[in-house]
Amino acid sequence: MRVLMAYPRPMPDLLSLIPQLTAPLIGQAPWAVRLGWGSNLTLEFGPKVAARSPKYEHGEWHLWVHMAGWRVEDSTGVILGCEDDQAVIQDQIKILENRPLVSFEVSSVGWDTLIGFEGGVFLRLFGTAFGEERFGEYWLLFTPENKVLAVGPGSRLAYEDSDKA
Amino acid sequence: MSNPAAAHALEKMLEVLVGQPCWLIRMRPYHRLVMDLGSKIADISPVSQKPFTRGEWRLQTLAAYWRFESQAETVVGSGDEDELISARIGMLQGLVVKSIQVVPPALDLVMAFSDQQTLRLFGVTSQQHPQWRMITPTGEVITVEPKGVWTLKGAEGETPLSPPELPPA
Repeated sequence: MRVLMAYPRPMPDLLSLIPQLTAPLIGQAPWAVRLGWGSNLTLEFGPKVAARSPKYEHGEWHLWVHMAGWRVEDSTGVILGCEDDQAVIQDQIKILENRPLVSFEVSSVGWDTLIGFEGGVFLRLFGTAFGEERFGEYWLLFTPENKVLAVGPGSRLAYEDSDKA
Repeated sequence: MSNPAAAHALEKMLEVLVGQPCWLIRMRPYHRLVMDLGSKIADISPVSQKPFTRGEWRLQTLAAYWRFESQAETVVGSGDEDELISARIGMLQGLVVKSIQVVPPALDLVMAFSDQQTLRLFGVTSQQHPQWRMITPTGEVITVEPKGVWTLKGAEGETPLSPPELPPA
């Protein structure tokens, strides 16, 4: 019989390191924000580097929103959500381009993530998969040091060499 | 009505749910949830005209992701496999609503239950699709639309809700 267990509490040490890891991003603006497969998003920051994919140019910092639910919002409401029509997302996600980051917060519950941009615009990420058999990180942040911060699913949180991700 | 004001007004309207038990929760296609709260009442399906039993209050998730949290542990969510969702959503059955929050700007619903269990919704559209709705004891329907708007409509003339029909009580 398969035993279904809730994941244990996440590692507090790495969680407390996230503000330090993401601090260099504050003040930087993504020069490309793209919709990928499904509702995946990628945001490119910093100087361009040799591409991991021949199709696209990447930044030194590369944020990949993978399996998390997401939406873009401001104080008045929701601007865009991950279940919107793809054509609408393609068009309107550009609102985040060239807009400097002002904050990057990760909650211990569900790894909920709130990324603040200049002008009161936010990218909000929401984790929805917790089963041990589930795969696919909520989001990944590739750094200039060839490391990757991999968040989710469940309580999984890792900071490791990016060639392992 | 401004968005925080809309959230507050809806939260006040739903406050009557505090103290009500959740007596049935099921998963529907596309990992939508249906939750019956309050006393069991007899109703007639607007689709088939057959009698069925529902809670005085019925929550339906639509274009919203969701997850359950237990004492700040995340337990299961709409992104999980069917088997896991089916195994875990029953944890709320029999529990009593302790508090209701409606969070702007998307009017996300957060329901805290006894035994430190929480259901959290997350709206994921900005366009025409409603995020979630609540059927009231009188058959009126509260619908949370995108852009932080909610409506209250009478049962008559409402779009059929395709309720999961149960045998009469």
